[in-house]
Amino acid sequence: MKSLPTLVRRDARNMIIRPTFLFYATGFPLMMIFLLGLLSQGFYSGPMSSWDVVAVNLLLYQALLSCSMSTNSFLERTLKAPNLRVLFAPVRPLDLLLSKVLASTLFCLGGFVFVFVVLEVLGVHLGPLCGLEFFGMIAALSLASSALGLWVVCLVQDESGANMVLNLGIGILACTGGVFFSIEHFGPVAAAFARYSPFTWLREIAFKIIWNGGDSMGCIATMALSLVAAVAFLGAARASFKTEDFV
Amino acid sequence: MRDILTVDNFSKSFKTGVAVDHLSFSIPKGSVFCLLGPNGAGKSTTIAMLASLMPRDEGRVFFDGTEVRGRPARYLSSLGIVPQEIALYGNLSARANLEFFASLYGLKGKTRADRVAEALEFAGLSDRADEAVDNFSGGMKRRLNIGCALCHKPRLMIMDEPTVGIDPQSRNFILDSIRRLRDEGTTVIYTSHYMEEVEEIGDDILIMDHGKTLAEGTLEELKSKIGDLRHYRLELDAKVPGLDDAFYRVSGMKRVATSGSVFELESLPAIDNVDAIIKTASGSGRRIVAFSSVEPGLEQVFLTLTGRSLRD
Repeated sequence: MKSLPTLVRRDARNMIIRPTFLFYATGFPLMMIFLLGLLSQGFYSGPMSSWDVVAVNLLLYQALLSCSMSTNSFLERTLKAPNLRVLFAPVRPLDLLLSKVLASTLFCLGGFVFVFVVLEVLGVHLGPLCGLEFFGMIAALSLASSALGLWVVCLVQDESGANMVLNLGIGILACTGGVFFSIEHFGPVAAAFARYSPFTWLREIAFKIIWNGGDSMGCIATMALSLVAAVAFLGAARASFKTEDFV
Repeated sequence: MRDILTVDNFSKSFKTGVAVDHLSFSIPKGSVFCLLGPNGAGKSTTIAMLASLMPRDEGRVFFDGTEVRGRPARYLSSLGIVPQEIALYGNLSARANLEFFASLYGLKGKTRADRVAEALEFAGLSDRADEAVDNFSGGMKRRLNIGCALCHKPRLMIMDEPTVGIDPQSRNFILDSIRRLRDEGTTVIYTSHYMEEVEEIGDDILIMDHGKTLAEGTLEELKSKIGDLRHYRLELDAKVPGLDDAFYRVSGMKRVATSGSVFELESLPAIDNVDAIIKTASGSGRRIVAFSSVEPGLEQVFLTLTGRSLRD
């Protein structure tokens, strides 16, 4: 346990020094928000602008993509061997796994802080207190996603394979949840998918938090469920992780 | 001299077959113990089990008289492991790598700074300490790979083929550093498939193949296992099927091993049969490229024990 802060610092720094990761956490969501906001201008009536809607959708989507960071920090080609050396030391394997989850969550949260500030400056509405409640929801989702990524990479034992599986799953979730466009007008089956997509549920809570004076219960429920999921995924990752697979 | 490590009946199987098969050995304190064997002999699996990274199917290990179970911190703190692969952060400096890995063993502050400086000195990298590892040559990376296992002053160093793919200068540096470690009282386990290295530094040598012990002892003890046969090496310009049978018909011939167009011959010393060997080779219709009498070494020991060359 003593080594955990050292491991987290190292893993977080390994992410920060990579320009591609920095872009992925900051530039990519801003770029997507700008593009989709521009394309959907005039789609929404009332006080909400297209930027307000797209920003919420894509920030939720980005939170779910946090898993890519943890898979990378665990099994990426240049990081696998140093991770093996960590296991030579008197470090609990759980600490190695936990450090990946915490570091990728912290890194992603740093990216979200930057994105929130930029959006706030640009006048995108993210809710009261500069979107603090919404930010809490995003943070919890990011933690759960990081833990999920670690579990999948422990199962698949291949970074690119794990990312493929995760991106596919999250992509389907996002599409059915209407992140990029609404699928409800594709017929009753698509509408049912959209209705029961967890992403739709997340979007509804987020919009209530931001526009309807808050949905504290929904927000707390999301955070609590995310925390439980994070613990469960981390436990599953520890159960799947065999130190000999690293050799 | 008391043993620092005792391995009793180590066994490990994978779906593909048996990797380590009832391996037992003991290592005296302050010695260099070499595990010699071809690729796939089970050396790295043995190291992984010693490092508590891989559970064993069977067997026990005792460190300083105490049985090791699971991943006890005291045992892991006493080990310094140099993996076959370069296990460093390429984008960090040599110093930052050493500081990070040293901190995992609880070193901090001035103690850590002093140990890092010592490790840099040991690896011959003091003047490049703040340069990113990605800019280093293969040999420098290998040396730093060893340095990172040294910072916490382990009592037992385990080195898994640390000289693979490096230049002769760095190789000599590493072999010298192993001697220095031994002189300072550190016990070293050194795995390799390079006989010359093992002959150079090994106090005790265990030759293994297919996960099993073939022979164990000092270099002299191992050489004595092959008796006082004469050893010849003969190379033709091409393969000749069936020529080994012809060599067996030469008077005094005890063993013939072929590897392509190269023949390793072992013959009784009392019988003068060099003429007959050359005549047999010439009679094959191929040109003799080289013929020499070979000083017995680990290669011959391996050949005698397995009937094939270590390099096969």
